[in-house]
Order: sequence, then structure tokens, then C-alpha cells
Amino acid sequence: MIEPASEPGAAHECVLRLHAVAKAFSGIQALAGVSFDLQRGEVHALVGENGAGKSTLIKIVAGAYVPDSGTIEVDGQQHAALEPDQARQLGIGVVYQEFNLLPELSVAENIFLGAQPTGRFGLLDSAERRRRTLALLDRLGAHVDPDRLVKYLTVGEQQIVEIAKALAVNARILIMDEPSAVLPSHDMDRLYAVIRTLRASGASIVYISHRLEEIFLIADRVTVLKDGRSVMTRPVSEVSRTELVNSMVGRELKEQYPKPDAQPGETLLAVRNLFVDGCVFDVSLDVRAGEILGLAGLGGSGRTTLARALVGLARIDSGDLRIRGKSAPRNPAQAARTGAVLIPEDRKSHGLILSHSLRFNISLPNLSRLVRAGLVLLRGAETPLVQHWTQRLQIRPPGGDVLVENLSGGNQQKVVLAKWLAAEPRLIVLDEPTRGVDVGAKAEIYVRMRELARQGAGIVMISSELPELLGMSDRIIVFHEGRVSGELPRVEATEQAVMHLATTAPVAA
Amino acid sequence: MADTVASTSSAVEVPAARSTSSPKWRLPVDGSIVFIYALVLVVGVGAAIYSERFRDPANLTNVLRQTIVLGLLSIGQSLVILAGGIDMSIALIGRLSTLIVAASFGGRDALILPLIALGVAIGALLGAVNGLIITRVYASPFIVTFGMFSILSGISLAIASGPVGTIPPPYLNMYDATIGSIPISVVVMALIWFAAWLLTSRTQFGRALYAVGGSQRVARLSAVPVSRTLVIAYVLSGVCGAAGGLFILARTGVGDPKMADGLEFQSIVAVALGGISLSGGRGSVLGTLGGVLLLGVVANIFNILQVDSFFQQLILGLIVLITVATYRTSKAST
Repeated sequence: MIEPASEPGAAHECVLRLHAVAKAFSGIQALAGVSFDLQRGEVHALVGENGAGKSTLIKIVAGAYVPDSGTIEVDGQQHAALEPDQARQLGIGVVYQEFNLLPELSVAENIFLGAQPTGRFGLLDSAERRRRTLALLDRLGAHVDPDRLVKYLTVGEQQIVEIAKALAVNARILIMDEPSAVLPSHDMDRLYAVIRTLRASGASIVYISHRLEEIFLIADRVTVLKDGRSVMTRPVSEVSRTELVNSMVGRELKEQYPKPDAQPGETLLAVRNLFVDGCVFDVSLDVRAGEILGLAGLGGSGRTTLARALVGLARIDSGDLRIRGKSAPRNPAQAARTGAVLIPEDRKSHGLILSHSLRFNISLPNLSRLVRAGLVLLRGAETPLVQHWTQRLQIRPPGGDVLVENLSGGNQQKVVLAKWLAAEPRLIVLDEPTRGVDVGAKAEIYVRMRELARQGAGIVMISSELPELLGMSDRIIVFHEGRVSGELPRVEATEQAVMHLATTAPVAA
Repeated sequence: MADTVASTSSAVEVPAARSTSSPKWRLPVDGSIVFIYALVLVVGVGAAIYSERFRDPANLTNVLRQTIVLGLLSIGQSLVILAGGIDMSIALIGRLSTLIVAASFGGRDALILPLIALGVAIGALLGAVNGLIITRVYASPFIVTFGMFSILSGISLAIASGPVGTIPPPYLNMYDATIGSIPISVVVMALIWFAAWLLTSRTQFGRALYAVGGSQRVARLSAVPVSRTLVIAYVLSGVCGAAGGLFILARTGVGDPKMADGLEFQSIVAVALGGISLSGGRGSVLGTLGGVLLLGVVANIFNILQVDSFFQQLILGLIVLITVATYRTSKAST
């Protein structure tokens, strides 16, 4: 696993080299000696579990943190630390997961926000700005109207604007923090194309991702971080997926998907000819106790809208929706009372109150059970509940008073699961349950899902990651533009079959 | 590359606990509460050393009694601000309900309890109107309650242009009565503060307030009745406003058409001084109590020292700016 630095000849020019970089925060060693190098015209993937040190590393390179020891070498120049401005001048650009765009400004205005081209008398030269924007977007091979307001762009287009913004200040080293995590699946190809174009033009890219598939698709080399150390760097052509996973986790992940083992019981959810909010048309489906139903489809195919309708968040136009025999809930509170919960896709804006503690978040949907004589019983009810679920889902750190915003992504996702599972729901709708979650936490979430099904819950799972959908679902229903285009039992479900249905309109009955 | 210490056998358990971006987590005790009480203590002790009149026990109980009106309004204001709103009409709700009560008294003892109930009911009703408009129309709380402020000040002027009402003497006991040397009103107010703390920190409604103020979307998805929580917060704010007005009436003994002037701003200042985030969702009413005490002590010192009102305004402004700047920078650094 330890690989000698393999530079094929001196033809490759090293643009960025980190040597034994370490950084601790109040005693916790976030980075314990990371060495990493980036060649000119290379896409270098950086992988590792949540908490492995990826974000700290980015921030050191971007100049946001000062490392405790080690050196940063940019174009042969050694630095002990970088200032943010200095990093920018050296051509280092970062595209963070959360975009820093002003929605009310145009594409061109956003791209040149920091360095507006000015004409005579210091006035803004919007024609010049527009021209340069077009040149930049052209360089990326992307077509976005420079005058369009950013708020009207899709997430994929906004990401391209972010990339262009980095390039506008002459970034030659581009660090991309999980760029694909925010994208719907049909936008990914465009992202990959942009990355390939950039590489061809001589830019160097550090690509952080949890999706191992795409690393094999676009990266030249991959470095694995674990517990704040770089444990391996290899050309992707010489490494297998299994090797990668094992070195990230530090152990063999044998069976990734637990096998289905429950007999479906009573019908928990019955949907008949349902039309929702002009997005879902004539959908009928059932979910029974003990089974996991996968919903497949492209982004915008109506799966999330259906999921929202199940808990009373989307307007039902017509049709029948029954949860455990009761009619459609009008709001999530009512849905929770009938035993149905939606565990939403975006944990930061839908799942958690970030500025509050683990305890606050986990007990929030469960308060009515924790109250006696109007008061929340802390030691008598709340603390045991929180402890039980943090232990059961192995949330770290386990203390209930930790603010959720200080947890890693995987642990945040577990808190989202905990707050809903503590309500002991019978019908659980999971929208992208493992997005932005590392492999170790993913495996744990899969085990919990299967366990819940075994205990008699019915689970509806929406996922854009086909392998996970195929691995977890007992049945898969495929959506195409708001309609069901087909249903596949587990044995017949293959990636090809699902994709075929997802891209073809259903035959009119 | 990869020449660093690498070992596959290391740590089987995944220590995914720490977040790499901000590995520190804050103590559950909010620093702002410590700060505001430290400030109260410093200012209070300083004044006590400097001024004999300030440290007189009679003056100190008086300070406490003088904080009651602002305290009531600040509790109401805390509730709506915690829920992510604001109540610009709280003082005017107090004024209008009190003027109606004062005008209806006619010196009749028998009407004391019914009219207190009426005053509180008017406060609750006006609060409910605020809450319903805000939740039904998704209107900005500032604009809605400011509109209410304007309407109520108009109605108040129509009801009374000068002092109104004959208040029966027993009503004034609300302000005057004491046990030993402690005013009963101070004791009752202490209980109200305790109840407010209990309500916000230990009840389902209180948790809902924080959740709604933190993120309405997350709260709704978490089975929290968002609209109901907001409406109740505004109703309680209206009740607090009315209670404050009724207490002023017990102090002055007459319905004053200028009463409670500017108290909506003072209550917001007290809330901000206490460390409750004006964007909602974080902070504690205990902090608000600190803010109210600070304002009370400072007002009393100004009074004793006969400070020019120009300096009063200036010093108050400085206190507010320094305190809030301290909170912001300490938050930014964590």
C-alpha cells in the first residue's frame, strides 16, 4: 500500500506540494502529517471518510488555516503558511460545496464581483465584463447567458459560474469540494466535461468526492486520507474500488448491502391514481410492512414531490393516498401521528437546526412523548432517549449537548435518522439517505434500514445512486417525468433495466 | 508521496466524531449570559460604591420595581424574537388596552378583576391579529406589527387626548403593596420570570419557539406546528404588553395617552443585550432578564446623578453597541 512517489519522468511539473502538513484544533489532531502533490494538468482525487481531514487540508491550501508544521510548496516556492490573498495570487481557487453567489446579480456580475473590469473614470465596463465572461464560459465549454440572474440558474449552472469565478482571478490550481454532491445526476456529465476541458488547458484540479465511481471516471491519481494522514497515493488505473474503500475505512467492508430477510406484511401505504401539484401524474403504488421500495428516476422525475405528498407537504390534486388506512395527512405533524415520516434530502436546510444541540434536534419531533405536566422531563425521559439513539446509531461525539453544526456530515445524517427513528415510525420515506456521507457511515445506514424493515417498518427510498438503490430495494418503481414508467422486482433490477425505464415514457394504458 | 506513516491495521473503529472544519464545540452555557450578568454586577457594584443613594436598600427595591414594566414587555418580545419575529406594537397594545380599561373604571372597585381580564383579553386579541396576519399572509413581522403600532396609536389618540379614567384606590395596591419591605409586585415578577424561563426551556411550546426561530422549514418537517407556535407567541406578547400597561396604570393611577412611549424599542434593546439573536432561534430569557436589570440600574443611576438626557442617550447607545459587538466577535471566533 505504501507507494513510492511515481512521477513518470521530469516532464511533469509539480505545481503544488504539501509536505508533512499537520494541524490540531484544541488538542484534536485534524491533520497528522499529510503529504500530497499535484502535477500540472492533473486531476487528483482526494478521498476519505468524513472527518479524515479533507476540509482542513483545503482550508490550509486556501490560506484559511495556518498549519502547525509542514510546508506548502507552490510552483517550487516554499511557504510555511499561506494568507488567503496570497493563495489567490498564487493561482489557487476553491469551489466550495456551498456556493458563494449573489442570487440577485447576473452571471457576469457574480464572476467579476471581486475584480470588476473598469473603463474610463473608474466606471464599470459592463461590455468588457460581458465579453470576458463569455470567453471564460467558452473556455469551460459551457453555455450560460452572462446577463441571466444567478437565482434563475440550475444548481449545475451555478456551479459552473463558481468555477468561472475562480478562473476569473487566474486560478491554475482548482480545488473542488464534493462538486458532484450537489448536482442532480443529469448535470454530472457536464461537470465532468468541464473538468476535462480545464485539464486539457493545463489547469490542475484537486477533486474531493465520496462517489468512488466518478473518481475512476475523471481522476488521474487518487490520494486517500485517513485519520488526518495520507495513507496512499496511486494512479487510478492501478487501484481497484475495493482497495480504495478498504484503505479509506481501514478495514475490510465485506457485505455492503444487508440481504432482505423479511416477509412483507400488511399494507402501510396505498396510493391510487395520485396527481400531485402538477408534477406527479396518475401514480399508484403500495408499500407493505417489512419491505424497502426503491424509487428510481432522473432528477425532477417527481419522486421527491411524491415523497413530500406522503407527509402532507405537497398539494394533492386528485387521487387517493392512504397511510395505514387513514386519509392523506395535511402536514408533517399529522403524518407523524399516523406513523409516517420523511427524512429529507438536504440535512442542512431541511433536516437539522444546526445552531442547536444534538439533544434539541433529536427530541424535537418526539416532544409530546417526553412531556409530563407540560414540562419536558430531562433526566427522566429526554436524556435516556437521546443516549439510546446516539449509542444505537453510534453518533460521535456522544454527548447530547454538542451543537449539530460541529458534527461531521456523516454524523449529522445520523442525527437526522435518530430524530425520526426515535418517533418509531411505521412508514419511513428516505430521500437520498446517504448523500455526502462516507462509506463507513453509509454501510451503517444500510444496516439500520434493513433492521427497521425487519422490525416491521415499510421503507420508501429515493436515491440517485443506482448501486445503492439496487442493493437495498426489494422492489424498484421507476419514474419518468412524473409518471410511473415501470416496476422491477429485486431479481430483475439491473442498472440497464432501471435506466431504460427512467429514460422512456410509459406506455399509455 | 505516500511516504507518510501508513498502517491498515490502525483503529478499526472509525473516529468520525470530529468535524474537520470546526472541531471545537461550545459549552451549552451561552457566554452572552455570563457577560450580561457580569456587566450588571460591575455597573451595580460600581454605582453602589460611588453613590450612597444608590446602595440604599429602599432604592434597590425601587430599581427592581421599576424594571417590572420593561420586564413584562421584554418577556413578550423575547418570545416573538426567539421565534424569528419581532413585535413593534407591544407597547401600543399595552397603551390601548390600558386606556380602554382606565376609561371603563369609573372608580368602581367591583370592576377591578373583570377589567384586568378585559385588558389582558384585548392584548391577547391584538397579538392574535398580529400572529394571524403574519402566518396567513407570510408578511414581514416588522411591517405587520409596525402597521399595528400605527393603527393602535391612532385609536389611542381618538380615545383620549388627555389623562382619562378614575381608578379605584385598591387597584393601586398592585404597585404599592409590600410584604415587609419587599414589594409584592417584585415577588410576583420574579415568579413570572421563572415561569418564562420554564416556558421557553422546558415546555413543548418553548422548544417549538426555538425550532421555528432556527428554521421554519426544518421545524415544519419536524412535526412542529409552525403557524400555531407563531400565533401563540404573538398572543403572549400582546398579553405581556397589556400586563405592562396595566401595571403602569397601577403606578400612575390614571390612563395616560402618552404612556409606554418607546418601550417597544427598549424591550428590543433588552432582548439584544441579553444575547438573544435578533434573527431568532438562539439565546435565553435569562439573558433578557440581565438586559432588563442592566437598563434598570443604568436608568436609576442616571436619575440619581441627574445625568443630562443627551449623555443618557449617548451612554445607552454605547452600551448597546459594545455589548452586541462583543457577542458578535465572540461568536465569530468560535
